[in-house]
Amino acid sequence: MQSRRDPILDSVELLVHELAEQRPRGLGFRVIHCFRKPGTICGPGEEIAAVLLVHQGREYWLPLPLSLRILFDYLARARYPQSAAQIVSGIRRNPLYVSDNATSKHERRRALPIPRSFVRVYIERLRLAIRKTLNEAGLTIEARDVLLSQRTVTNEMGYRLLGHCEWIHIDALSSPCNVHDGRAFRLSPQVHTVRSAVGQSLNNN
Amino acid sequence: MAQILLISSNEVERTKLAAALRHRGHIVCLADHCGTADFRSGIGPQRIEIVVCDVAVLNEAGWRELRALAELLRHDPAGIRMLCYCRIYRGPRFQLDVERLGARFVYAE
Repeated sequence: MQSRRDPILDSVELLVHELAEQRPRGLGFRVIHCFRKPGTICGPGEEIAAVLLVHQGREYWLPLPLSLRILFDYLARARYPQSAAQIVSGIRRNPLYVSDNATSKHERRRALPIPRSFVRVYIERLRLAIRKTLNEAGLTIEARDVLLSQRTVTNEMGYRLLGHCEWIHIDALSSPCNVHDGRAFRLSPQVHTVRSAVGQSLNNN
Repeated sequence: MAQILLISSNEVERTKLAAALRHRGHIVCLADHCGTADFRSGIGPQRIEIVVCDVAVLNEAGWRELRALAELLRHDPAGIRMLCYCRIYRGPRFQLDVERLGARFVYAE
């Protein structure tokens, strides 16, 4: 019989605890918000600069345009499945999305409201980007299992993102961030991180 | 409790360690080397969560099998963990070589 202080058994216990910690949380995502005004979090004027998949300590950039970054950010915050109407009204009413990009170089460009009839198309495009990134990360998970479509008792569809997400804020006074090469992303000293888990309570699908 | 695949060519060692792991409540499946380890269907309908591998005796073929197994596990979406152990001290270079495969390593002298 092995002794109680056997390093192999101790290492196995450590791995068991790691698994227990990580399994229910699903995939990890990181959303970068730039141009944060000091003292605010996710306030008007911030730019959703990038969405990253975090897997085994590496970051993989999701190739998303502004409208899909907004949609991703909205779904990552939603705890319950969101219908197309809820997504549209939720995005229109949130000052972060309405004035997103206002302080960036595309200052004049405001986030276009997503038409309700386009939500389904946007969801498919979002899945396409997730699929590409999962492939790049070497994961064999279906994008449909990450971004779920859940039918209600009627024809209405609810959309939900599974996984856990953290928001990283970069202050307006920080040096410009290089987000488009994904892996070479550098954080300035003035970062503020907000972590949130989404879809934990409804993981059994 | 976890489902563990224990790979060791030393039968006595394997039996002892399996007994200790079972004593702690884990479900253990045994294999004598990486090539025979069918880790996907080893334990009933449930999947293996942790692979524990004895790397004390590794020849060229053994390294090849270990690399193939590590590569398989690295791309597994369920995130199967791999722990390699060695009861003989082989130095830090050996440890680094094993850890480069993506496995944890522990000397258990």
